[in-house]
Amino acid sequence: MNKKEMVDKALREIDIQYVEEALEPSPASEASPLRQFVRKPVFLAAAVLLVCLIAGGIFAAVYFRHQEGPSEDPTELVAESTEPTAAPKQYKVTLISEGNAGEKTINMESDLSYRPFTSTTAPKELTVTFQGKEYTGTYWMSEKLPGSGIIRDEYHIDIDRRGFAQFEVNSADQRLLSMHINARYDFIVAGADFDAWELAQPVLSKEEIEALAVSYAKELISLDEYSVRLEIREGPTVIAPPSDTPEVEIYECFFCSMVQGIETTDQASVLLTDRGTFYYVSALAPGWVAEHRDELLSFDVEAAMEAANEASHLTNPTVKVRRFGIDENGQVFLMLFITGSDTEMPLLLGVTEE
Amino acid sequence: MTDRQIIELFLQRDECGIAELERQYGARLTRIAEGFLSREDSEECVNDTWLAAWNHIPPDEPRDLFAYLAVILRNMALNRLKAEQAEKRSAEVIELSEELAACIPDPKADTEGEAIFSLSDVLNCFLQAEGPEKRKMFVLRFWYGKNFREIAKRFGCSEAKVQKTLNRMKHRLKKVLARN
Repeated sequence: MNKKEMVDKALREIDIQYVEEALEPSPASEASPLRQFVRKPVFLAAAVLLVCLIAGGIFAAVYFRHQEGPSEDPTELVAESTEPTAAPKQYKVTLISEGNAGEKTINMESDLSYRPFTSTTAPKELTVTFQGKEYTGTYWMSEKLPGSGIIRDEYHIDIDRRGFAQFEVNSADQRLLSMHINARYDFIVAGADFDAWELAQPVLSKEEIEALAVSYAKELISLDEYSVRLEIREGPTVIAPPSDTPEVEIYECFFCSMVQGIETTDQASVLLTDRGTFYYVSALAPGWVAEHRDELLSFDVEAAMEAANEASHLTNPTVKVRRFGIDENGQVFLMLFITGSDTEMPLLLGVTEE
Repeated sequence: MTDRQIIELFLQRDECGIAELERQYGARLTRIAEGFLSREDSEECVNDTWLAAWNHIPPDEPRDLFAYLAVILRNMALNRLKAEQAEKRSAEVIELSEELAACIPDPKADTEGEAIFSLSDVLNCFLQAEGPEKRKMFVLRFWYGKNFREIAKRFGCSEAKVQKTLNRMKHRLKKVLARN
């Protein structure tokens, strides 16, 4: 029996009570009286006050401990200066995404972390123009992606079981940030049910695919200062095409603004097939690098890596540069992955120069 | 009527067995079917499940009748999705079992050929230990083939959280399997 057959057998023999349990209402679908109370403004105000008091206490404790000397607390990620020069730069290391650091599990909220929420100010309906065509969507949710410095409002155009269309705009100015037209749920993981029409189309050359990708990307970004990379998307492509039909390949075209040879969050990607079918175009944080190029060019990457290394308190840490990002206040920072012999998953850290 | 008595009716080719099956398990199976299909399709799928059970018992004599029916129903539901041109969803379940297969360590040379563990036992113990929320996410993903977005909506959290939770569970499962 091969591994897949073993898994299929194990799934068949999964405890039936778990199968039924999985369909029970979850916290999100049924608000308990406690949850309803928790949503009341009075409770929220009290909670905010309590959090402020706790945060103030923690700040005071950390501040005074710093006056006394370096901390031994593994969850504290505020690094000391690492440069022995006369006027050393200070580095602040912040956890963006928690990881599991063995026994030393670090779980800290950060202003830089991913944050989904429901906006009270986003229009309930919005119309955008893409490739000369108007699309009207209904507001779904808002989110902040690490290092983008902007709030994205997501709108859904149509949803059914097999697919959906959606777009995102910058909450501040309603500028279009992404457009997904033919995307299926979990398209990237599962592949897509390409129809017979698409299979019958001629396969495009890489140059033709890239030219198409550029035409879509132009809708969201100014292409002057971006490097372009075209890749075949790994994973399943088409399900059981006729034997005489070439499989459909999925291409992703990346547009990225680079500084010091490092990626930035000023980037976009276009997903389309080798038959020319467009799936999506998405820009993360378009245009911010041009305004902050000098800061980025003078950013001391080596020192930032060292500061992250020191602040992590991991055993045998290894730091890998991820990309430059920007926060909501316009402060640039370097995003780093750090692993240690006592980590199971890498921590994603942000290092700012102060 | 006990499961054994229902199975006896099937073995004797007594159609009262089907009516009894429907009375005993109809509502629960329909609920599971609705995890995959629309309400209307679910009812048809459950009816197909009775017929399939009738055709397979005998020779089958399931120890846990409801679990047996649920597995038949799952296969029926996946076939129905496929027939409805929703190849994507059924293909996803295939991919998902491959994804879980990656958690199984390669057999060591000195134990090759020996059944050193029962994957289903380990998986059930693992799921029990994981607690209800994570277990539900796991089953919704790998048994029902739900995508991250659907699970996230059900739990009122982000897709990223679902993805992260499931990745960590797979990581832990891999460790557990390696130990066993």
